[in-house]
Amino acid sequence: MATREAGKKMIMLKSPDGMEFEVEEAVAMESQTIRKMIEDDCADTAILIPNINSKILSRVIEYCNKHVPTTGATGAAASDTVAPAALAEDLKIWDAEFIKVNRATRFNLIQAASYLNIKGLLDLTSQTTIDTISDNSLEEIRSFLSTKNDYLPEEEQTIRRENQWAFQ
Amino acid sequence: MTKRSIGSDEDLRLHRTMVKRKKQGLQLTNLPTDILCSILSQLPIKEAVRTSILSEQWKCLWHHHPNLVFTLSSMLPIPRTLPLTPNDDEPRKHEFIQRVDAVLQQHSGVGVENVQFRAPFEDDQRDQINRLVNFAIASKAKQLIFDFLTASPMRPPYNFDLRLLDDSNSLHLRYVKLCSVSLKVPADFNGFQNLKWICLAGTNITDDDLQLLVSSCCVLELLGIASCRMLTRVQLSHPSNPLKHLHVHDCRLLQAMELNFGLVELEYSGPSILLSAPGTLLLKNMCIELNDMCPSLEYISTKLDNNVPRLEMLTLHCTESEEDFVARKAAQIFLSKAPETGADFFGCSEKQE
Repeated sequence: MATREAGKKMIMLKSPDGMEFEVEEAVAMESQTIRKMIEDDCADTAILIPNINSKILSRVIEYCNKHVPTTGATGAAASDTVAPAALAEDLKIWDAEFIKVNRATRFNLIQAASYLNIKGLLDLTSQTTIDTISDNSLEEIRSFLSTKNDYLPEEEQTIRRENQWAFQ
Repeated sequence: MTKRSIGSDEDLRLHRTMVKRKKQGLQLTNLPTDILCSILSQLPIKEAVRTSILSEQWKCLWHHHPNLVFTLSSMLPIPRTLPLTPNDDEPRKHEFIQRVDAVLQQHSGVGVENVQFRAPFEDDQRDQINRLVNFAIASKAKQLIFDFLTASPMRPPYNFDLRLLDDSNSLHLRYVKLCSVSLKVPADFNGFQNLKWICLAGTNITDDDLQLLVSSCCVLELLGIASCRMLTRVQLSHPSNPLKHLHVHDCRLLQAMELNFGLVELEYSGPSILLSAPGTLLLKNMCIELNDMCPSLEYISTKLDNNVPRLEMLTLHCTESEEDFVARKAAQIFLSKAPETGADFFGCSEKQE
C-alpha cells in the first residue's frame, strides 16, 4: 500500500481503461464497497474498479473528496471556524453544481454510486430521476428514460384496470 | 410564419442529433434492476405503481417497494365537501381499503422496510386492519406505524391487538408507533424481543399496562409518549430497564415519573410533575418545557440535581411570564451546583420587562 504524508494512508484505484488514481484511504472509504475491501485486507495493491471508466471514476473521487468528514489538524481548524450549518449549505451548493451533467453521465454516476455503495452520491444522482417520475406525464417520463411502451393495447388496459386509482 | 417553420426544422434536426447522442450513452433502463428498484423505492407508492405502465420492464419493479405508506390523502383525492358525520366518510374508507388491498395483493411481500397506515379506522374494520398487520409481519418490516386518527371523539378508539405483534412474529421489528388506539397488554403477551423504539400518541393506556409493555421490551432504547390522557404515573425505575431516551409530551393527568438508571436523554413538556430517580442517573441531556414552572423547577434544583452528575445539557422553556423570576432563580441555583453544565434557558429574557 502506498503511503504519502505522515499518517495518511493512500489507496490506488484503477479504472478498466488503465487509469490509476491515488486517493487517501479516508476518501476511498466513503465507498462502503471499498471500505469493506480495506477492512478485509484486500486492498494491498491497486483496487480495480470494474465497469466504471476513468472519466466517471474521477468524478466519483471528486465527490468523495468533497464529502469526506473533515478530521485531523487542518480539518479541525476548518470546522472550528465554519459553523456546521454553513458547511452543509456550502456542500448543498457544491452538490447542485456537481450534478449539472448530461443524462448519460448522470446514469453512469448512478451506476457507479450503486456499485461502490456511496449513499450520498446515489441519492444525489437519483433525485432528478425521482423528480421527473413524480412530476411528469407518462409520455414525458418515457421520453426522459428513453423507454418505449411495448405493451399490447389489451395488456395496457389490464394494468390500468388493476391499479386504476394510481392513474387517476 | 416562414421564420417559425425554419425554426422548427432546426429544432427537429437538433432533436434528432440529441436522440442520436442519447442512444449512444447509457440509458436509465440499462441499469440493473436493483438500482431501478432503489430509485423507485424513494417514490410514494402511488407514483411507484404508476410506473408499471411505462413498459414491460417496469411492470413488476414496484412489487418490491420497501416503503408502504398508506394515508387517506395520498391514496384518495381530497373530498369536495368535508364529512358532516363519521358515516359520510364510509364510502371513502371503503375505497381506501380496497386500494390498500390491491397494492398488498400485487406486492411481492419481500424487502419491505416500513409499513405506515394513517386513516380514521375503527373496530368495525378489524378484519382489514388485521390483514395489513399480518402482511407487515410476514414481510418482516422493521418499522410499523399505525395512526387511526379517531374519526369522532364520541367513538371509542380502535382496540389494537398487541398479540398480532407478539413474540416470534415481531423478531424483525425495531420501531413501532401506535396513534389513536386503545392498548391493553394481554396477560399472555410475550413481548418484543428486538424492539428499539416505541411511540404512543393519543393512546388509551393505563399506568400498569404501560409499565408491563415497557418491561416486556428487553432492548428498548426509546420510549415516546404524547397526549396519553389516562396516564398518571410513568414507572421505569426497574433496574434491568435498558431505556436511554424518554420523550413525554402533553399527558394532562400525569403526576409523576420514576426514571430509570440508564436514561441518557429526557424530553418533557406538560404540567409540573414529580421526577424521581432510584439513585444516581447517567442522564446527560434534559429538555423541559412546563406550563407551570415553580414547583417542578424547585424540585429539579433541590432534589434531582444530586442524582444527575453527568448532565451536560439542560434546556428549559417557560411560557408564563409571572413565574419567570422564580424560574430563572431556580435555574441559577441549579447551575451553580453544576458549573460545567451547559444550559439553554428560553422564554424569560424577552418577557422580563
